[in-house]
Amino acid sequence: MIRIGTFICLLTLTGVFYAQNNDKLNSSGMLTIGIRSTLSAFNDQQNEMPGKGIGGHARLRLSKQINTDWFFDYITSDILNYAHRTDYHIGWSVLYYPLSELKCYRIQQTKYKPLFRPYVVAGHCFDYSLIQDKADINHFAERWSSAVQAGLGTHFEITPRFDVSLTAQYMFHLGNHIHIDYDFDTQVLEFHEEKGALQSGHLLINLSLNYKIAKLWGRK
Amino acid sequence: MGKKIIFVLLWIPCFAFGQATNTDERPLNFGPSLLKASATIAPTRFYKIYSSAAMLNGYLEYVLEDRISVRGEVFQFMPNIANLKFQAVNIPRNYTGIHAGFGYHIGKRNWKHSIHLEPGVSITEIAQDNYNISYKWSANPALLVKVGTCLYVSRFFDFFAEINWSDSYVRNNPATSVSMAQVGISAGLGFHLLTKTKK
Repeated sequence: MIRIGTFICLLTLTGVFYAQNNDKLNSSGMLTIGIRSTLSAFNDQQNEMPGKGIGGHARLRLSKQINTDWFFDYITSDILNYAHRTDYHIGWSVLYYPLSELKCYRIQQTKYKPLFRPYVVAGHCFDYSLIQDKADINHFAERWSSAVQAGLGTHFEITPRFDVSLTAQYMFHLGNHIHIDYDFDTQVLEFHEEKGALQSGHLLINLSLNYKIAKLWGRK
Repeated sequence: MGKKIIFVLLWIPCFAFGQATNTDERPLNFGPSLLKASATIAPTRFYKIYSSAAMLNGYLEYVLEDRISVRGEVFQFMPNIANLKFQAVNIPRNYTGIHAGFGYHIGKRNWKHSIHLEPGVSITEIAQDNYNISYKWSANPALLVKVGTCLYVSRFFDFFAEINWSDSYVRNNPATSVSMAQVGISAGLGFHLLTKTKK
C-alpha cells in the first residue's frame, strides 16, 4: 500500500514539474522568432487586388497575459493591370491573452496536448508605400506614413516550443493618401496626394510559424 | 516425445521475442540535432504559364525536436532546359526562389513523412518588351509548401522524395502580372549527421 502511494506521489510530482516547465515557456522573458506570410485584402485603392507578402517577427513575452510582437512585412499587390503597389511595414504590437488563466493553460497533462491560445492584438507601425505605373515604372508616387492596427488571432501550440499563429487585423494609415486616377480610354495614369488622416487602410491576415528560442530572464 | 515437442513449441516464442528485441535495437538515424542537406534537380511545371523547367534545388535542415525542424532552401532556374511558351514579357529569363521555414515530421523510427511551410522571395528577371531588348529584376514575396517522405538508411545517408508547390507574382512587367505558381518534384540522396550524441 505504501509502495503504491509512493508511486502515485512520484507520478503526480512528475506532472507538476512538467506543468511548471511548460508554464515557464509561456511566462515573462520568453523570446520567440517567427516568419510569416501575409495576405492584404480590402485595400483602399480602387481596383486594387489582394496583396501577398512575407515578413518576420520577434516576440518578447512580458507576462503570462502580455506578449509583444516586433515585425517587418513586405507586401506587393496589383492595381488591375495599370499599376502595382509595394508596401513595407515595420512596427510593433501588443498581444493580450484574455483566456490565459483558464485551467487548460495552467495544468498540463504529462503528455503534451496541442492547444489554441487566442489573443487580442493592437499596435503601431511605420510604413512606406510605392505605387508604380506598369507602362512606365519611372512614373510613380510614394508615401512615408505611420499606421495603427488592431485585430484578433490565435496561436495553435503544436509543441511546447512551436506554434502556428493566425492573425487578422485592420491597419489604418495615418498619413497622406495617394489617390490614383486612370483613364481607360487614353490609358493615362495620374497620382494625386490627399492630405488627412485615417483615409486609407487594409485588412492584414498573417499566418506565421514561431519557435521559442530563449528565456531572456526569469530562468529560475 | 510429446513432452519434447511441447517444450520446443514453448521455447519458440522466446526466440521470436529475442529476435524482435534485436530488430528494435537498430540504430536511430533521425532525432533532435540532426543536420541534413542535399542538392538535386527538380523537374518543375509553371502551370499558370503552361511552361516546364528544371530547377537546381538545394536545402539545409536542422531538426529542433522529435517532430519539428527548421529549413532553408534555394531553387535556381536552369536556363536552356525550359520549354517556355508565350511572349518574353510573360516568362522570366532568370528565377531564383529563396525560402526558409519549419517542417513537421511524423512516421516510424527511420522513415519519416513531413510537411514544410516556407515563406520566402522569388528573384526574377523578366523582359520589359516583346523584343528582348531590356530586362528587369524584381524580388517578390513567395510561399512554398512541400510534402515529402525520407528514409534514413544509415548514420549519414538518406533517400528523400518531395512534392513542392510555390507561388509568387512578378508585378514589374509592363503587361499583367505573371504568376510563378509551380509544382515540382525533388528526389534523391541526402546527407545527414546527428550533431549531438545521446548521453
